[in-house]
Amino acid sequence: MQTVETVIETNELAQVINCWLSTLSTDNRVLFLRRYWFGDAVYMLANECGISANKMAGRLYRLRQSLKKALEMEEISL
Amino acid sequence: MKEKKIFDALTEVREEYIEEARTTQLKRQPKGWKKWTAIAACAVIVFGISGVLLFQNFFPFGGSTGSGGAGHGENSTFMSYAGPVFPLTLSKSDNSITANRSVLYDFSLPNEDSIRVWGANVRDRYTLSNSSTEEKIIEAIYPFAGSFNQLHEQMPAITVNGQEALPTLYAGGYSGGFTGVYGGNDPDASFNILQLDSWEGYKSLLEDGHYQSSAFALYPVLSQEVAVYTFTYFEAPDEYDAATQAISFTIDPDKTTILQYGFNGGEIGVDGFRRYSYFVPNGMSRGKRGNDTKLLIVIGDDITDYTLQGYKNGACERGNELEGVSATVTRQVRVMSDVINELIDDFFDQYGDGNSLAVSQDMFLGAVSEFMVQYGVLSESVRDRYQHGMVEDIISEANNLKRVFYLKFEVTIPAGGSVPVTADMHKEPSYDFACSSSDNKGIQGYDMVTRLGSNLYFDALTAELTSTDNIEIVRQNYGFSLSQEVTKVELDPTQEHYYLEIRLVEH
Repeated sequence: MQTVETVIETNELAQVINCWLSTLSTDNRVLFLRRYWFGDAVYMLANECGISANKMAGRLYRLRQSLKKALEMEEISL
Repeated sequence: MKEKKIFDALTEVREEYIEEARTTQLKRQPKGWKKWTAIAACAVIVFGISGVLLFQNFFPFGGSTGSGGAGHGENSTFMSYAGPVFPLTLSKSDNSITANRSVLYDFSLPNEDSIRVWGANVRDRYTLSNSSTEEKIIEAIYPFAGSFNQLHEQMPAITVNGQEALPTLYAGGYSGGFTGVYGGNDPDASFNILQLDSWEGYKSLLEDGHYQSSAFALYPVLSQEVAVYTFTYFEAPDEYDAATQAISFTIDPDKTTILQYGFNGGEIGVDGFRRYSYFVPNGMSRGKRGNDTKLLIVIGDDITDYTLQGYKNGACERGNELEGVSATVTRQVRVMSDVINELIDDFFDQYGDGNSLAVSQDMFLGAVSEFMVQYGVLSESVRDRYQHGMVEDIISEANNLKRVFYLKFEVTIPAGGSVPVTADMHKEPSYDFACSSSDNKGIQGYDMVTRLGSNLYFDALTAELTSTDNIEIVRQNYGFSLSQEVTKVELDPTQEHYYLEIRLVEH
Protein backbone atom coordinates (compact mmCIF):
# COMPACT_ATOMS: atom_id res chain seq x y z
CA MET A 1 0.00 0.00 0.00
CA GLN A 2 1.59 3.25 -1.10
CA THR A 3 0.55 6.67 0.08
CA VAL A 4 1.27 9.93 -1.69
CA GLU A 5 4.04 10.58 0.82
CA THR A 6 5.78 7.27 0.27
CA VAL A 7 5.56 7.61 -3.51
CA ILE A 8 7.13 11.07 -3.31
CA GLU A 9 9.83 9.79 -0.95
CA THR A 10 10.57 6.89 -3.29
CA ASN A 11 10.77 9.18 -6.30
CA GLU A 12 13.14 11.53 -4.50
CA LEU A 13 15.30 8.64 -3.42
CA ALA A 14 15.27 7.19 -6.93
CA GLN A 15 16.33 10.55 -8.38
CA VAL A 16 19.28 10.77 -6.02
CA ILE A 17 20.31 7.19 -6.75
CA ASN A 18 20.07 7.79 -10.51
CA CYS A 19 22.05 11.00 -10.15
CA TRP A 20 24.66 9.27 -8.03
CA LEU A 21 24.90 6.40 -10.53
CA SER A 22 25.54 8.93 -13.30
CA THR A 23 28.61 10.21 -11.43
CA LEU A 24 30.20 6.76 -11.29
CA SER A 25 32.54 5.26 -13.81
CA THR A 26 30.85 2.70 -16.05
CA ASP A 27 32.71 -0.08 -14.31
CA ASN A 28 31.61 0.99 -10.83
CA ARG A 29 28.03 1.54 -12.00
CA VAL A 30 27.92 -1.90 -13.58
CA LEU A 31 29.46 -3.40 -10.45
CA PHE A 32 26.93 -1.76 -8.14
CA LEU A 33 23.95 -2.90 -10.18
CA ARG A 34 25.34 -6.37 -10.75
CA ARG A 35 25.59 -6.76 -6.96
CA TYR A 36 22.49 -4.94 -5.76
CA TRP A 37 20.08 -5.23 -8.66
CA PHE A 38 20.98 -8.57 -10.18
CA GLY A 39 22.17 -10.08 -6.89
CA ASP A 40 25.44 -11.50 -8.21
CA ALA A 41 27.59 -13.02 -5.47
CA VAL A 42 30.66 -11.13 -4.28
CA TYR A 43 33.04 -13.93 -5.10
CA MET A 44 31.62 -14.20 -8.62
CA LEU A 45 32.17 -10.51 -9.25
CA ALA A 46 35.64 -10.89 -7.73
CA ASN A 47 36.42 -13.74 -10.13
CA GLU A 48 35.26 -11.67 -13.08
CA CYS A 49 37.52 -8.79 -12.08
CA GLY A 50 40.41 -11.07 -11.18
CA ILE A 51 40.68 -9.80 -7.62
CA SER A 52 40.12 -11.38 -4.21
CA ALA A 53 36.67 -11.46 -2.65
CA ASN A 54 38.04 -9.36 0.20
CA LYS A 55 39.08 -6.65 -2.21
CA MET A 56 35.78 -6.83 -4.01
CA ALA A 57 33.96 -6.44 -0.72
CA GLY A 58 36.09 -3.40 0.02
CA ARG A 59 35.20 -1.92 -3.37
CA LEU A 60 31.51 -2.52 -2.77
CA TYR A 61 31.81 -1.08 0.73
CA ARG A 62 33.30 2.10 -0.71
CA LEU A 63 30.47 2.31 -3.23
CA ARG A 64 27.88 1.96 -0.47
CA GLN A 65 29.65 4.61 1.57
CA SER A 66 29.66 6.87 -1.47
CA LEU A 67 25.91 6.35 -1.93
CA LYS A 68 25.34 6.98 1.76
CA LYS A 69 27.26 10.24 1.48
CA ALA A 70 25.24 11.26 -1.58
CA LEU A 71 22.01 10.58 0.30
CA GLU A 72 23.22 12.52 3.32
CA MET A 73 24.15 15.48 1.12
CA GLU A 74 20.57 15.52 -0.11
CA GLU A 75 19.44 15.25 3.52
CA ILE A 76 17.75 11.93 2.85
CA SER A 77 17.71 9.68 5.86
CA LEU A 78 16.56 6.07 5.68
CA MET B 1 11.38 -0.03 6.25
CA LYS B 2 14.81 0.92 5.09
CA GLU B 3 15.24 -1.95 2.65
CA LYS B 4 11.73 -1.42 1.26
CA LYS B 5 12.53 2.24 0.52
CA ILE B 6 15.81 1.34 -1.15
CA PHE B 7 14.11 -1.46 -3.04
CA ASP B 8 11.31 0.78 -4.26
CA ALA B 9 13.82 3.40 -5.32
CA LEU B 10 16.04 0.88 -7.07
CA THR B 11 13.13 -0.19 -9.25
CA GLU B 12 13.21 3.32 -10.64
CA VAL B 13 16.86 3.09 -11.71
CA ARG B 14 17.13 4.13 -15.33
CA GLU B 15 16.62 1.28 -17.72
CA GLU B 16 19.74 2.11 -19.68
CA TYR B 17 21.79 1.52 -16.54
CA ILE B 18 20.17 -1.88 -16.01
CA GLU B 19 20.77 -2.80 -19.63
CA GLU B 20 24.34 -1.54 -19.35
CA ALA B 21 24.91 -3.69 -16.25
CA ARG B 22 23.35 -6.68 -17.95
CA THR B 23 25.50 -6.48 -21.05
CA THR B 24 28.81 -5.02 -19.84
CA GLN B 25 31.71 -7.20 -18.75
CA LEU B 26 33.51 -5.92 -15.68
CA LYS B 27 37.09 -4.84 -16.32
CA ARG B 28 39.73 -7.22 -15.06
CA GLN B 29 42.43 -5.82 -12.82
CA PRO B 30 45.99 -6.18 -14.13
CA LYS B 31 47.37 -9.57 -13.18
CA GLY B 32 50.24 -8.00 -11.28
CA TRP B 33 47.75 -6.96 -8.61
CA LYS B 34 46.97 -10.46 -7.59
CA LYS B 35 48.65 -11.62 -4.45
CA TRP B 36 47.65 -15.20 -3.97
CA THR B 37 50.17 -16.05 -1.33
CA ALA B 38 49.10 -17.44 2.00
CA ILE B 39 45.50 -17.80 0.91
CA ALA B 40 46.16 -19.59 -2.33
CA ALA B 41 44.74 -22.87 -1.10
CA CYS B 42 41.70 -21.32 0.50
CA ALA B 43 38.31 -20.25 -0.64
CA VAL B 44 38.00 -16.67 0.55
CA ILE B 45 34.53 -15.51 1.22
CA VAL B 46 33.24 -12.17 2.22
CA PHE B 47 29.98 -12.47 4.02
CA GLY B 48 28.01 -9.59 2.56
CA ILE B 49 25.43 -9.43 5.27
CA SER B 50 25.41 -5.65 5.52
CA GLY B 51 24.82 -5.22 1.83
CA VAL B 52 22.68 -8.23 1.20
CA LEU B 53 20.40 -7.62 4.12
CA LEU B 54 19.84 -4.06 3.08
CA PHE B 55 18.72 -5.05 -0.35
CA GLN B 56 17.62 -8.61 0.04
CA ASN B 57 13.93 -8.02 -0.42
CA PHE B 58 14.54 -6.25 -3.65
CA PHE B 59 16.47 -8.72 -5.67
CA PRO B 60 14.66 -10.48 -8.46
CA PHE B 61 14.46 -13.71 -6.50
CA GLY B 62 12.87 -16.27 -8.74
CA GLY B 63 13.11 -14.15 -11.81
CA SER B 64 15.33 -11.83 -13.73
CA THR B 65 15.03 -8.92 -16.03
CA GLY B 66 14.46 -11.29 -18.85
CA SER B 67 11.94 -13.60 -17.26
CA GLY B 68 8.83 -11.47 -17.32
CA GLY B 69 6.20 -11.33 -19.94
CA ALA B 70 6.52 -14.86 -21.17
CA GLY B 71 3.50 -16.99 -20.58
CA HIS B 72 2.51 -20.56 -20.04
CA GLY B 73 -0.92 -21.08 -21.42
CA GLU B 74 -2.17 -17.58 -22.13
CA ASN B 75 -1.31 -15.99 -18.81
CA SER B 76 1.96 -14.27 -17.98
CA THR B 77 4.91 -15.43 -15.95
CA PHE B 78 5.74 -12.59 -13.61
CA MET B 79 9.10 -11.73 -12.08
CA SER B 80 7.50 -11.51 -8.66
CA TYR B 81 4.83 -14.15 -8.24
CA ALA B 82 2.38 -13.71 -5.38
CA GLY B 83 0.94 -17.22 -5.56
CA PRO B 84 -2.66 -18.14 -6.24
CA VAL B 85 -5.72 -17.90 -4.02
CA PHE B 86 -6.21 -21.47 -2.83
CA PRO B 87 -9.45 -23.32 -2.07
CA LEU B 88 -10.65 -24.31 1.37
CA THR B 89 -10.08 -27.92 2.37
CA LEU B 90 -10.91 -30.23 5.28
CA SER B 91 -8.47 -31.99 7.60
CA LYS B 92 -10.35 -35.22 6.79
CA SER B 93 -12.21 -35.87 3.60
CA ASP B 94 -16.00 -36.12 4.11
CA ASN B 95 -18.31 -37.10 1.25
CA SER B 96 -21.35 -35.63 2.97
CA ILE B 97 -19.89 -32.10 2.88
CA THR B 98 -20.11 -30.06 -0.30
CA ALA B 99 -19.25 -26.45 -1.00
CA ASN B 100 -20.40 -23.52 -3.08
CA ARG B 101 -17.57 -21.05 -3.58
CA SER B 102 -17.61 -17.42 -4.68
CA VAL B 103 -14.49 -15.29 -5.04
CA LEU B 104 -14.76 -11.50 -5.03
CA TYR B 105 -11.91 -9.19 -6.12
CA ASP B 106 -12.33 -5.64 -4.85
CA PHE B 107 -10.06 -3.12 -6.60
CA SER B 108 -10.94 -0.06 -4.58
CA LEU B 109 -8.21 2.36 -3.52
CA PRO B 110 -6.72 1.29 -0.18
CA ASN B 111 -7.53 4.64 1.43
CA GLU B 112 -8.30 8.22 0.47
CA ASP B 113 -4.60 9.14 0.39
CA SER B 114 -3.77 6.36 -2.04
CA ILE B 115 -2.97 7.29 -5.59
CA ARG B 116 -3.10 3.85 -7.08
CA VAL B 117 -4.58 0.42 -6.67
CA TRP B 118 -1.96 -2.10 -5.60
CA GLY B 119 -3.37 -5.50 -4.85
CA ALA B 120 -6.96 -6.51 -4.34
CA ASN B 121 -9.14 -7.13 -1.34
CA VAL B 122 -10.26 -10.69 -1.85
CA ARG B 123 -13.32 -12.23 -0.25
CA ASP B 124 -13.23 -15.99 -0.70
CA ARG B 125 -16.67 -17.17 0.43
CA TYR B 126 -17.93 -20.72 0.88
CA THR B 127 -21.26 -22.22 1.78
CA LEU B 128 -20.57 -25.61 3.31
CA SER B 129 -23.51 -28.00 3.21
CA ASN B 130 -24.01 -31.17 5.21
CA SER B 131 -26.14 -33.74 3.37
CA SER B 132 -26.00 -36.31 6.19
CA THR B 133 -28.58 -36.88 8.89
CA GLU B 134 -26.27 -35.96 11.73
CA GLU B 135 -24.55 -32.78 12.83
CA LYS B 136 -20.96 -32.56 11.61
CA ILE B 137 -18.09 -30.91 13.44
CA ILE B 138 -15.33 -30.58 10.91
CA GLU B 139 -11.85 -29.07 10.87
CA ALA B 140 -11.54 -26.70 7.92
CA ILE B 141 -8.18 -25.59 6.58
CA TYR B 142 -7.60 -22.42 4.59
CA PRO B 143 -4.22 -22.22 2.80
CA PHE B 144 -2.57 -19.01 1.66
CA ALA B 145 0.79 -18.11 0.13
CA GLY B 146 2.95 -15.71 2.10
CA SER B 147 6.04 -15.17 4.19
CA PHE B 148 6.62 -14.53 7.87
CA ASN B 149 7.86 -10.99 7.21
CA GLN B 150 4.61 -9.97 5.49
CA LEU B 151 2.23 -12.04 7.54
CA HIS B 152 0.60 -9.05 9.22
CA GLU B 153 -0.66 -7.90 5.81
CA GLN B 154 -1.28 -11.32 4.29
CA MET B 155 -3.13 -13.20 7.01
CA PRO B 156 -6.76 -13.83 5.99
CA ALA B 157 -9.51 -13.07 8.48
CA ILE B 158 -11.84 -16.05 8.82
CA THR B 159 -15.49 -15.89 9.74
CA VAL B 160 -17.80 -18.86 10.32
CA ASN B 161 -21.52 -18.21 10.27
CA GLY B 162 -20.78 -14.49 10.46
CA GLN B 163 -18.68 -14.85 13.61
CA GLU B 164 -14.97 -14.23 13.67
CA ALA B 165 -13.12 -17.52 13.93
CA LEU B 166 -9.89 -17.93 15.88
CA PRO B 167 -7.94 -20.27 13.64
CA THR B 168 -4.62 -21.88 14.45
CA LEU B 169 -1.80 -20.96 12.09
CA TYR B 170 0.56 -23.56 10.64
CA ALA B 171 3.46 -22.83 8.33
CA GLY B 172 4.71 -25.05 5.55
CA GLY B 173 8.39 -25.02 4.68
CA TYR B 174 10.03 -22.79 2.07
CA SER B 175 8.02 -23.36 -1.09
CA GLY B 176 10.73 -22.71 -3.69
CA GLY B 177 14.12 -24.11 -4.58
CA PHE B 178 17.65 -23.04 -5.37
CA THR B 179 19.67 -22.45 -8.50
CA GLY B 180 23.14 -21.54 -9.69
CA VAL B 181 24.62 -18.10 -9.97
CA TYR B 182 23.43 -15.69 -12.64
CA GLY B 183 25.16 -16.60 -15.87
CA GLY B 184 26.62 -19.78 -14.41
CA ASN B 185 26.21 -23.15 -16.03
CA ASP B 186 26.26 -25.61 -13.15
CA PRO B 187 22.80 -27.22 -13.07
CA ASP B 188 23.33 -28.58 -9.56
CA ALA B 189 24.51 -25.35 -7.99
CA SER B 190 22.35 -23.87 -5.25
CA PHE B 191 23.81 -20.45 -4.55
CA ASN B 192 20.69 -18.48 -5.39
CA ILE B 193 17.07 -18.53 -4.40
CA LEU B 194 14.54 -19.77 -6.95
CA GLN B 195 11.07 -18.94 -5.70
CA LEU B 196 8.01 -20.40 -7.37
CA ASP B 197 6.91 -18.28 -10.31
CA SER B 198 3.74 -19.99 -11.50
CA TRP B 199 0.64 -21.75 -10.28
CA GLU B 200 2.02 -24.92 -11.82
CA GLY B 201 4.92 -24.62 -9.39
CA TYR B 202 2.44 -24.62 -6.53
CA LYS B 203 0.67 -27.56 -8.16
CA SER B 204 3.88 -29.60 -8.13
CA LEU B 205 4.46 -28.58 -4.53
CA LEU B 206 1.03 -29.39 -3.17
CA GLU B 207 -0.67 -32.02 -5.24
CA ASP B 208 0.68 -35.10 -3.47
CA GLY B 209 -0.29 -33.75 -0.04
CA HIS B 210 3.16 -34.23 1.49
CA TYR B 211 3.88 -30.51 1.87
CA GLN B 212 0.64 -29.90 3.73
CA SER B 213 1.06 -32.87 6.07
CA SER B 214 4.61 -31.70 6.85
CA ALA B 215 3.23 -28.27 7.71
CA PHE B 216 1.12 -29.84 10.46
CA ALA B 217 4.00 -31.94 11.82
CA LEU B 218 6.15 -30.84 14.77
CA TYR B 219 9.19 -28.71 14.08
CA PRO B 220 12.65 -30.20 14.66
CA VAL B 221 14.15 -29.27 18.04
CA LEU B 222 17.83 -28.37 18.07
CA SER B 223 18.49 -30.01 21.40
CA GLN B 224 22.18 -30.80 20.89
CA GLU B 225 24.80 -29.20 23.12
CA VAL B 226 27.22 -26.92 21.33
CA ALA B 227 30.25 -24.86 22.27
CA VAL B 228 29.59 -21.15 21.84
CA TYR B 229 32.46 -18.68 21.49
CA THR B 230 31.22 -15.16 22.15
CA PHE B 231 33.22 -12.03 21.27
CA THR B 232 32.88 -8.93 23.45
CA TYR B 233 34.84 -5.88 24.60
CA PHE B 234 36.21 -4.91 21.22
CA GLU B 235 39.30 -2.73 20.91
CA ALA B 236 41.04 -1.24 17.88
CA PRO B 237 43.15 1.85 17.16
CA ASP B 238 40.88 4.82 16.44
CA GLU B 239 42.62 5.78 13.21
CA TYR B 240 41.64 2.54 11.46
CA ASP B 241 37.98 2.81 10.40
CA ALA B 242 37.86 -0.72 9.05
CA ALA B 243 40.08 -2.46 11.59
CA THR B 244 39.40 -6.16 11.44
CA GLN B 245 39.66 -8.94 13.96
CA ALA B 246 40.15 -12.48 12.71
CA ILE B 247 40.03 -15.80 14.49
CA SER B 248 41.64 -18.79 12.84
CA PHE B 249 41.81 -22.47 13.67
CA THR B 250 41.81 -25.88 12.03
CA ILE B 251 39.02 -28.46 12.27
CA ASP B 252 38.26 -31.90 10.95
CA PRO B 253 35.28 -31.07 8.71
CA ASP B 254 33.90 -34.58 9.18
CA LYS B 255 33.69 -34.09 12.93
CA THR B 256 33.09 -30.38 13.39
CA THR B 257 30.61 -27.94 11.90
CA ILE B 258 30.81 -24.20 12.50
CA LEU B 259 27.95 -21.73 12.57
CA GLN B 260 28.74 -18.04 12.70
CA TYR B 261 26.85 -14.89 13.57
CA GLY B 262 28.02 -11.29 13.19
CA PHE B 263 31.07 -12.01 11.04
CA ASN B 264 31.90 -10.26 7.76
CA GLY B 265 34.46 -12.46 6.08
CA GLY B 266 36.14 -15.81 6.16
CA GLU B 267 38.37 -18.37 4.57
CA ILE B 268 37.73 -22.05 4.23
CA GLY B 269 40.74 -24.19 3.46
CA VAL B 270 40.60 -27.67 2.01
CA ASP B 271 42.75 -28.88 4.89
CA GLY B 272 40.23 -27.83 7.53
CA PHE B 273 41.69 -24.37 8.03
CA ARG B 274 39.07 -21.80 9.00
CA ARG B 275 39.37 -18.07 9.45
CA TYR B 276 36.42 -15.86 10.41
CA SER B 277 36.78 -12.10 10.57
CA TYR B 278 34.71 -9.07 11.47
CA PHE B 279 35.13 -5.34 11.28
CA VAL B 280 35.72 -4.12 14.81
CA PRO B 281 32.44 -2.37 15.70
CA ASN B 282 32.56 1.27 14.62
CA GLY B 283 36.25 0.83 13.89
CA MET B 284 37.14 2.44 17.17
CA SER B 285 37.94 1.48 20.71
CA ARG B 286 35.08 0.27 22.76
CA GLY B 287 35.31 -0.37 26.45
CA LYS B 288 32.09 -2.28 26.55
CA ARG B 289 29.99 -4.44 24.34
CA GLY B 290 28.08 -2.61 21.68
CA ASN B 291 25.06 -3.76 19.75
CA ASP B 292 27.17 -6.09 17.66
CA THR B 293 26.74 -9.70 18.64
CA LYS B 294 29.46 -11.90 17.28
CA LEU B 295 29.74 -15.55 18.03
CA LEU B 296 30.78 -18.89 16.66
CA ILE B 297 28.80 -22.04 17.36
CA VAL B 298 30.81 -25.25 17.26
CA ILE B 299 28.81 -28.42 16.60
CA GLY B 300 30.57 -31.73 17.17
CA ASP B 301 34.21 -31.86 18.20
CA ASP B 302 35.27 -28.60 19.79
CA ILE B 303 38.04 -26.47 18.35
CA THR B 304 41.21 -27.15 20.29
CA ASP B 305 43.20 -24.03 19.65
CA TYR B 306 42.66 -20.73 17.92
CA THR B 307 44.60 -17.61 17.00
CA LEU B 308 43.36 -14.04 17.12
CA GLN B 309 44.92 -11.50 14.75
CA GLY B 310 44.09 -7.89 13.98
CA TYR B 311 44.28 -6.38 10.49
CA LYS B 312 44.13 -2.82 9.16
CA ASN B 313 41.06 -3.65 7.06
CA GLY B 314 39.09 -6.60 5.76
CA ALA B 315 42.05 -7.95 3.80
CA CYS B 316 43.35 -10.57 6.25
CA GLU B 317 46.69 -10.93 4.51
CA ARG B 318 50.30 -11.07 5.56
CA GLY B 319 51.73 -7.55 5.76
CA ASN B 320 48.35 -6.07 6.65
CA GLU B 321 48.45 -7.00 10.33
CA LEU B 322 47.57 -4.40 12.94
CA GLU B 323 48.54 -4.28 16.59
CA GLY B 324 46.08 -3.13 19.21
CA VAL B 325 43.06 -5.06 17.93
CA SER B 326 41.52 -7.24 20.57
CA ALA B 327 38.35 -8.79 21.90
CA THR B 328 37.37 -10.92 24.84
CA VAL B 329 36.40 -14.44 23.78
CA THR B 330 34.34 -16.52 26.16
CA ARG B 331 33.37 -20.16 25.71
CA GLN B 332 30.15 -21.70 26.98
CA VAL B 333 28.47 -25.04 26.40
CA ARG B 334 24.80 -24.46 25.62
CA VAL B 335 21.76 -26.05 24.05
CA MET B 336 21.65 -24.99 20.42
CA SER B 337 17.99 -23.97 20.30
CA ASP B 338 18.57 -21.56 23.22
CA VAL B 339 21.40 -19.90 21.32
CA ILE B 340 19.42 -19.65 18.08
CA ASN B 341 16.47 -18.21 19.99
CA GLU B 342 18.68 -15.43 21.37
CA LEU B 343 20.11 -14.78 17.92
CA ILE B 344 16.59 -14.42 16.53
CA ASP B 345 16.00 -11.69 19.15
CA ASP B 346 19.27 -10.05 18.26
CA PHE B 347 18.58 -10.29 14.54
CA PHE B 348 15.26 -8.47 14.83
CA ASP B 349 16.82 -5.90 17.20
CA GLN B 350 19.46 -5.13 14.59
CA TYR B 351 17.63 -5.58 11.31
CA GLY B 352 13.94 -5.66 12.11
CA ASP B 353 13.52 -1.89 11.81
CA GLY B 354 10.95 -1.91 14.58
CA ASN B 355 8.84 -4.64 13.00
CA SER B 356 7.79 -7.47 15.22
CA LEU B 357 7.15 -11.09 14.43
CA ALA B 358 3.56 -11.84 13.47
CA VAL B 359 3.81 -15.25 15.13
CA SER B 360 5.05 -16.54 18.45
CA GLN B 361 8.81 -16.72 18.77
CA ASP B 362 8.47 -20.45 19.44
CA MET B 363 6.85 -20.91 16.06
CA PHE B 364 9.47 -18.81 14.29
CA LEU B 365 12.27 -20.66 16.11
CA GLY B 366 10.70 -23.86 14.79
CA ALA B 367 10.65 -22.49 11.25
CA VAL B 368 14.29 -21.37 11.52
CA SER B 369 15.27 -24.77 12.93
CA GLU B 370 13.40 -26.51 10.11
CA PHE B 371 15.10 -24.31 7.50
CA MET B 372 18.50 -25.06 9.04
CA VAL B 373 17.84 -28.80 9.01
CA GLN B 374 16.44 -28.78 5.47
CA TYR B 375 18.94 -26.48 3.77
CA GLY B 376 21.62 -25.25 6.19
CA VAL B 377 24.72 -26.87 7.61
CA LEU B 378 22.61 -29.32 9.60
CA SER B 379 21.12 -30.68 6.37
CA GLU B 380 22.23 -33.89 4.72
CA SER B 381 22.22 -31.84 1.54
CA VAL B 382 23.64 -28.44 2.47
CA ARG B 383 22.76 -25.85 -0.15
CA ASP B 384 25.73 -23.90 -1.53
CA ARG B 385 24.10 -20.71 -0.30
CA TYR B 386 24.37 -21.75 3.34
CA GLN B 387 27.63 -23.71 3.33
CA HIS B 388 29.41 -21.02 5.34
CA GLY B 389 27.06 -21.40 8.28
CA MET B 390 25.84 -17.81 8.53
CA VAL B 391 22.98 -17.86 11.01
CA GLU B 392 21.83 -14.43 9.76
CA ASP B 393 21.13 -15.93 6.34
CA ILE B 394 19.05 -18.70 7.84
CA ILE B 395 17.00 -16.36 10.04
CA SER B 396 16.60 -13.80 7.29
CA GLU B 397 15.49 -16.28 4.68
CA ALA B 398 13.20 -18.23 6.98
CA ASN B 399 11.60 -14.84 7.55
CA ASN B 400 11.51 -13.57 3.96
CA LEU B 401 11.03 -16.55 1.67
CA LYS B 402 7.59 -17.58 0.51
CA ARG B 403 5.78 -20.59 1.88
CA VAL B 404 2.22 -21.81 2.20
CA PHE B 405 0.52 -21.12 5.51
CA TYR B 406 -2.57 -22.92 6.76
CA LEU B 407 -5.34 -21.63 9.01
CA LYS B 408 -7.18 -24.44 10.78
CA PHE B 409 -10.54 -23.87 12.43
CA GLU B 410 -13.62 -25.77 13.48
CA VAL B 411 -16.98 -25.57 11.72
CA THR B 412 -20.21 -27.11 13.01
CA ILE B 413 -22.78 -27.89 10.31
CA PRO B 414 -26.23 -29.10 11.35
CA ALA B 415 -27.74 -32.19 9.72
CA GLY B 416 -29.04 -31.21 6.31
CA GLY B 417 -27.95 -27.64 6.91
CA SER B 418 -25.43 -25.13 5.58
CA VAL B 419 -22.90 -22.75 7.12
CA PRO B 420 -21.13 -19.81 5.43
CA VAL B 421 -17.36 -19.54 5.82
CA THR B 422 -15.49 -16.48 4.61
CA ALA B 423 -11.81 -15.67 4.19
CA ASP B 424 -11.04 -11.96 3.73
CA MET B 425 -7.55 -10.89 2.76
CA HIS B 426 -5.52 -8.33 0.92
CA LYS B 427 -3.85 -10.09 -1.97
CA GLU B 428 -0.67 -8.59 -3.35
CA PRO B 429 -0.40 -8.87 -7.12
CA SER B 430 2.16 -10.69 -9.19
CA TYR B 431 4.15 -8.14 -11.21
CA ASP B 432 7.25 -7.38 -13.23
CA PHE B 433 9.83 -4.99 -11.81
CA ALA B 434 9.36 -1.38 -12.81
CA CYS B 435 12.99 -1.13 -13.86
CA SER B 436 12.84 -4.13 -16.17
CA SER B 437 12.38 -4.03 -19.91
CA SER B 438 9.36 -6.29 -19.69
CA ASP B 439 6.21 -5.62 -21.68
CA ASN B 440 4.32 -6.47 -18.51
CA LYS B 441 5.45 -3.45 -16.54
CA GLY B 442 2.48 -2.04 -14.69
CA ILE B 443 0.40 -5.18 -15.02
CA GLN B 444 -0.91 -6.86 -11.88
CA GLY B 445 -1.63 -10.58 -12.00
CA TYR B 446 -4.04 -12.53 -9.81
CA ASP B 447 -4.26 -16.31 -9.92
CA MET B 448 -6.87 -18.57 -8.42
CA VAL B 449 -6.84 -22.36 -8.22
CA THR B 450 -10.04 -24.32 -7.79
CA ARG B 451 -9.09 -27.79 -6.58
CA LEU B 452 -5.40 -27.80 -5.78
CA GLY B 453 -4.80 -29.26 -2.31
CA SER B 454 -8.52 -29.52 -1.55
CA ASN B 455 -10.54 -32.62 -0.71
CA LEU B 456 -13.85 -30.71 -0.87
CA TYR B 457 -16.38 -31.26 -3.61
CA PHE B 458 -17.37 -27.92 -5.13
CA ASP B 459 -20.77 -27.94 -6.79
CA ALA B 460 -20.68 -24.28 -7.84
CA LEU B 461 -18.07 -21.60 -8.32
CA THR B 462 -18.57 -17.92 -9.13
CA ALA B 463 -16.25 -14.93 -9.38
CA GLU B 464 -17.01 -11.23 -9.15
CA LEU B 465 -15.18 -7.94 -9.55
CA THR B 466 -16.04 -4.71 -7.75
CA SER B 467 -14.65 -1.16 -7.72
CA THR B 468 -13.30 -1.56 -11.23
CA ASP B 469 -13.26 2.18 -12.06
CA ASN B 470 -9.48 2.35 -11.76
CA ILE B 471 -8.56 -0.77 -13.70
CA GLU B 472 -8.78 -2.40 -17.10
CA ILE B 473 -8.44 -6.09 -17.81
CA VAL B 474 -5.46 -7.07 -19.93
CA ARG B 475 -5.73 -10.86 -19.91
CA GLN B 476 -8.08 -13.31 -18.21
CA ASN B 477 -9.87 -16.62 -18.57
CA TYR B 478 -12.90 -15.77 -16.41
CA GLY B 479 -15.21 -14.20 -18.96
CA PHE B 480 -15.51 -10.75 -17.36
CA SER B 481 -16.25 -7.79 -19.61
CA LEU B 482 -15.94 -4.40 -17.96
CA SER B 483 -17.17 -2.58 -21.08
CA GLN B 484 -20.34 -4.69 -21.10
CA GLU B 485 -20.60 -4.54 -17.32
CA VAL B 486 -20.14 -8.28 -16.94
CA THR B 487 -18.51 -8.32 -13.52
CA LYS B 488 -19.95 -11.55 -12.16
CA VAL B 489 -19.43 -14.91 -13.84
CA GLU B 490 -20.12 -18.56 -13.18
CA LEU B 491 -17.06 -20.74 -13.49
CA ASP B 492 -16.36 -24.39 -14.08
CA PRO B 493 -15.24 -25.85 -10.73
CA THR B 494 -13.37 -28.61 -12.53
CA GLN B 495 -11.12 -26.17 -14.38
CA GLU B 496 -7.96 -26.06 -12.31
CA HIS B 497 -6.81 -22.48 -12.75
CA TYR B 498 -8.20 -19.02 -13.42
CA TYR B 499 -6.11 -15.93 -14.04
CA LEU B 500 -6.79 -12.22 -14.17
CA GLU B 501 -4.31 -9.58 -15.29
CA ILE B 502 -5.17 -5.93 -14.93
CA ARG B 503 -3.55 -2.56 -15.34
CA LEU B 504 -4.49 0.79 -13.90
CA VAL B 505 -6.31 3.34 -16.02
CA GLU B 506 -5.63 7.08 -15.91
CA HIS B 507 -8.66 9.26 -15.39
